[in-house]
Amino acid sequence: MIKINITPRQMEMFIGRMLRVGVFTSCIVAVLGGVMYVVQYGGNSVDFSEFTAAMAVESIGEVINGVLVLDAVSVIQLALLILLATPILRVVFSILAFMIERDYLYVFITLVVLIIIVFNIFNG
Amino acid sequence: MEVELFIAVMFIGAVAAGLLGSLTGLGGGVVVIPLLTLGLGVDMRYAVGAALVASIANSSGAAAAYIREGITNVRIGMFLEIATTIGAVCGAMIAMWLPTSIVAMIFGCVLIFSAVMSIRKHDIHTSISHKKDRWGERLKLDGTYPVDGKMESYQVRNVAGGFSLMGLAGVVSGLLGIGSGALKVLAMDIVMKVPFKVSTTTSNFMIGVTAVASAVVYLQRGYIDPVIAMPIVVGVLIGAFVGSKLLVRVRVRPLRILFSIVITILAIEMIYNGYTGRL
Repeated sequence: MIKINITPRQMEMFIGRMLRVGVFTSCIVAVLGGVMYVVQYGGNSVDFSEFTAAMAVESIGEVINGVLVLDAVSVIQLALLILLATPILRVVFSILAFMIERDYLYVFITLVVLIIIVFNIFNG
Repeated sequence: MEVELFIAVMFIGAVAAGLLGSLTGLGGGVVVIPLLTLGLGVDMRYAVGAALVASIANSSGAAAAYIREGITNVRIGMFLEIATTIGAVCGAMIAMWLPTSIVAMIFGCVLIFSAVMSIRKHDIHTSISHKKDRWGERLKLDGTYPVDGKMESYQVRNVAGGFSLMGLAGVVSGLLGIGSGALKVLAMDIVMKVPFKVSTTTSNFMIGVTAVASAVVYLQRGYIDPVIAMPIVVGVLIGAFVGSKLLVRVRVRPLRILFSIVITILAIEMIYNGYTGRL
């Protein structure tokens, strides 16, 4: 058995820091994408009074490819994916936290929550 | 409207929404929907998508601060998240086929309910229960939290009732893209008798995870438009941050009453526009 030298409190602080970093990173990337968008599409007119679903995100690969060719919309979508990833990562790290506490009932409960979210990602 | 102007107007509106959301405790998402639909003529579906990402940003940002204080009860949060995430997925599915006018009317009703809940007075000590609940004990939901520097213990009650109400809160949040913090607090505070401080921070902790469960559906269906989401996320975060700093300095209660009136007016307008089919 591997000995783990992390206290539950340290784990909590780590999760807190991860949330802050996630939100902050997402914010920075979003602003960057926003500036790029204004540069690329500035002066165009926008109209959102009609729902078109033009910007549906189909896959993470598609977003990454867009980011690589510096497409502003893809950069903002990357920011959104980072934002969505933070609470999911939080659930993942909570599983680890409960494992450290040897609270296997809650390892199970948290795993159920994670499965519901992940199941939804692939069947949405 | 031109791109630059649209982004600028949304950004300013989002800062106000974040400020209002944090001062009333309702969350930024709640104010984003009337701002976009009534204010800027944006389609209800885009507004719901934007509110959803605003809720996630808000929740993660605030949760990071709350964790340090050690008030959040992670076990209560995780256990109830089984109900809210299942509810949220159902809510998102319902939203895909429900007409937007009906969604707007439901939103209005939830908004009025939230406004009433936000001005409700809280009995901080009298509501604490010391009766045991079988499930509360089995699931280790009882906890302690700091009161004036001392750790006070509390026991939860009616876990089954709280769990069911959380399922409903999940459906509402999946359907409308809001955190439905008011319903979550109702479930924990009134039904389960969790102390107010613990229930609000735990509710905040849950909002992000609940919202993510439905956000994926919204993202894949194109409800979350990057051009709307970008200024909304950044603006709401800035507004919420400023609001949290203001919270400790200003007298909150008169502000809450004022905002609740504003929110109720917006809610009635949402219901009316939904009823006449304009949303």
